[in-house]
Amino acid sequence: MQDLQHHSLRTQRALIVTVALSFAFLLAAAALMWSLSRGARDSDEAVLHTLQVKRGVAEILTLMTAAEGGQRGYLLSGDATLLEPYNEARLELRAHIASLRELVSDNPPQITRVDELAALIERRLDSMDEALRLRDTGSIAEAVAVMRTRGQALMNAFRVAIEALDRVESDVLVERQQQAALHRDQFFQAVTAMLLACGVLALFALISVRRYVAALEATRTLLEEQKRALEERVEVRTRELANIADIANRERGRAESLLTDVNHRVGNNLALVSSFLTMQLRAVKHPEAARALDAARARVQAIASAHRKLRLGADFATVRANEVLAAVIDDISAGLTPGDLIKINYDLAPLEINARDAVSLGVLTSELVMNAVKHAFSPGQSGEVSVTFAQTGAAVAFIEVADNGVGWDDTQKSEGSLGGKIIDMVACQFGGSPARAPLCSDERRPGTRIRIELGKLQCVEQPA
Amino acid sequence: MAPTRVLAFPRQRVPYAGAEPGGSQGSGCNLLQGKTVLVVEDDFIVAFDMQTLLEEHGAQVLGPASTLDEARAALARSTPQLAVLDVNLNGEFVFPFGLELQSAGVPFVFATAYADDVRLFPEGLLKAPRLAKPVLPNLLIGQLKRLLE
Repeated sequence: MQDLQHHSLRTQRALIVTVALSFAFLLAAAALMWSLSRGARDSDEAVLHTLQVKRGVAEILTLMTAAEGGQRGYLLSGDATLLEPYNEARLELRAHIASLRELVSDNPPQITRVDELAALIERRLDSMDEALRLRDTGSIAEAVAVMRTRGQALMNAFRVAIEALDRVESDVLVERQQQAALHRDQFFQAVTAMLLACGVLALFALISVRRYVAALEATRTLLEEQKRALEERVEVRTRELANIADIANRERGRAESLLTDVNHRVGNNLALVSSFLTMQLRAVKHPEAARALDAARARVQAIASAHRKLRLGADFATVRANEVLAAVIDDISAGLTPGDLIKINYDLAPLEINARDAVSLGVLTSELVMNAVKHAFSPGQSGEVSVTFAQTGAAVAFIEVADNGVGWDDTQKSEGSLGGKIIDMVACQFGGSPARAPLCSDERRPGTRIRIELGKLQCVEQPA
Repeated sequence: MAPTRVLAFPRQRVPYAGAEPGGSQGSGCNLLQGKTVLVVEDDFIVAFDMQTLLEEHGAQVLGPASTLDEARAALARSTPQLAVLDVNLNGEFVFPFGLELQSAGVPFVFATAYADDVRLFPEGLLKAPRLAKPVLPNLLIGQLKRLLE
């Protein structure tokens, strides 16, 4: 990944450098072309200038030749019309010389030559004028002599001067044409070089772009691969977790079903015990024995009622005391003889207690309630038994069973009462002992309130 | 042990004294006179106890059947007016037979140690009363009486 980034960075840098170089080269090429084209234009102008000079020289020669011809014709024939070219040439020559001098003003040796030429022309014109004057005054022979001697010599000198001038200009022209050709060559070479360089740069740019695109593609591919690998790992892990959760759920389900099964067997076995007691109850004739067996069956019932609720704790180690005790009391209520006038109420706090205490607490409650039901009321009397299970302010649980019956009699102790013994023993197991008080001041039916503090019962209050 | 006993037992009224305790032979001991009751229970002792109890109340007991097949055979022979069903018959659930009884119009009560496991029961059978084992005699009789009304 880092390598790839590095590579991509390098490619990108090469691309930037290439593009920058291309632009710099284009600028340089443009400047060079501009300068070369200026040079070429200057060369062309110089050639043109030289040609103009040569044309000026040629015109002066033409004019002088025309003037010479006209003058000679007139001298020989006396025809005045033949003098017209002479007069025109005389008029124009000076202007032409001035313009020629102007044209060669950049070349001092030529200026000198032009000046010499101008002097020669003046002298030749003067000699022509003199010959014409002589002709006009009648001395034709003299005039012809002037023309032949001085005129001829001047004319020759003039031709030499003109030729010198023209030769120099021709030399300059050749030189300048060579220069122009050189400029054209340079221009062509520059264009060729630039085209080549542009081609090379374009090639580089193409390569860089291709590399950049390839690097991008590689990055994308790598990222996709990594993404796919990551997704695969997540999927595998998710599957593993799901499997683990499945196994945990299965194990939990198995444990729950085992527990349900065990509870079911315990219930069935208690039912078997209960059935044995019932059958024995039918078999005995003695009422005392029957009562004892019935009480035993009621105790088995209480254990079964409490045990039925043991499975319901979330962690199988604790149970809700209110559910256990409600089951015990409900079963006692259901077991009362039909038409009985005794009503059992309860108010049970939702305290979480250890499962191992649940059955003992159920037995204690059952004994207290059965005791009240059996002994608190006269036959045919209606009455109420109230059961309270709660916590005191000091976080000590207590159980209280109150009836509105006939009260108790200290003198009439039930020496053989097994119920009383059981109550004492279980109360002691929970670190308490029964405390008893009348419910009200009515002498006929003071009622009884029995309260047992359960100091050793571990319990935690749970929201209902 | 506490030195003095705090409980006193007035003898004016002992509700269970004199009668067969547990209400198994109450004043109306013929509550099920002339009724036929099918008992489905795989534990022979419990089944025998139940049969005795029902007969004490004047009922005629079909069975007891200890498997689904026996229960079906008993139902095929004659239609009872009531039925008491255990849920788990040696690992076999009684629910299909419960549905058959329901469609035959026979009211029944479950007597089972599974009474609190509502999840176990099929939806169609949730209305049938469920009594927890061990079942108190007068609770069973009272429940059957109510089913007849």
